[in-house]
Amino acid sequence: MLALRNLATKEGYAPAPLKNVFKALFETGHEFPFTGYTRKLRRELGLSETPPLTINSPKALGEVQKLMKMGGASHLLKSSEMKR
Amino acid sequence: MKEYALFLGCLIPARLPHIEAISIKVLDKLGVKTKDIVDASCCPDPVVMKSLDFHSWLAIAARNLSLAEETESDILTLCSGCFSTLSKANHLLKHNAELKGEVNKFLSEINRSFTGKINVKHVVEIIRDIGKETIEQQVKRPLKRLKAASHPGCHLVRPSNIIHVDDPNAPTIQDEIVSWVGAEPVNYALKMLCCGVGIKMVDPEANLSLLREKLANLKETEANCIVTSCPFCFMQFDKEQKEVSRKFGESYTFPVFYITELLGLALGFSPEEVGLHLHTTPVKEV
Repeated sequence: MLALRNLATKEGYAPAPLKNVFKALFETGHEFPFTGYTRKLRRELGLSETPPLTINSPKALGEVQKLMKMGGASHLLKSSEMKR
Repeated sequence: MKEYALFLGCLIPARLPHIEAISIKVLDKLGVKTKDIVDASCCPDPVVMKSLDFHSWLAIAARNLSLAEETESDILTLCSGCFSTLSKANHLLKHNAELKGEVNKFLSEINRSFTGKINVKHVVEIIRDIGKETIEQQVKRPLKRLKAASHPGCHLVRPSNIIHVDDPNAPTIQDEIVSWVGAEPVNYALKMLCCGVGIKMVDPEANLSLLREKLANLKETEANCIVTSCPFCFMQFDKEQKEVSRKFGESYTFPVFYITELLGLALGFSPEEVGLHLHTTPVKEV
């Protein structure tokens, strides 16, 4: 089943919401990016507004992006890359 | 004092940071220290990413595991999705030399490697290992009014050939913890039913139908709250009860607790410290 899904993705068939998850992961390193409200809430809770995650590290994001470009669904990135 | 590398994932730090805050406080009070996994990314998601591209999923998971290996500590995760991804990736890479070779070739491009020297633990395992006696001794506010229906969720116990936290068909680990804080565990027929959140993106109607089936079953019991150890299930129950009530013309208002919130209350943290004011479904009734 997994192989079939991966094959379908290679052929361009994947539900749009799943492609959006892929795009978010490529652009931020996370499925749920931080928002202004996130940072405000974290500050109020005594947590760091910028925890040491990929979303706060250009170097780390570069590593994740490099791995995603080497994968079998890298063609999903083309449109988002072109838009940027 | 035992120390773990805390894998935050995506949902908790970005949408439910009160769970991050109270979990760290509760663990500290129970003698468990946590440290950052610097530069960790999404685990990635055990459903979406794997469906799109297994090799990208595995390579990114391996990168996260390699970052944790640098801390020389086992991973502690608060999210069942992260737990499933990291446990499965760790297992595959430890037991399949060919796959490990392929992934390390990917990782070498970013000057990293997977060695396989750490394990992955879910927070409920850590709490269970701390034990009944220690936790009961620390309880300052027994939660005697709570009749708690435990929702294990899908990823805490599956894939069962790799994850051995509990019986995959009849897990009791959360019920045990519920009883240690003075609350009463409530059993119900549809305990193992998925909360529905995993299909929300592709089929929102089926998502709500599944949730309604579960909530309707809970309403037939004595339960006055829901307890889970998965942030996705937490969010589904906490936020979507209102939508289920509206769509089906019924009324569901179960307060929902993430497992460390329940412990936090019992250990004496205030409702504000636990973050109950940030819940969508009010908790004050219980």
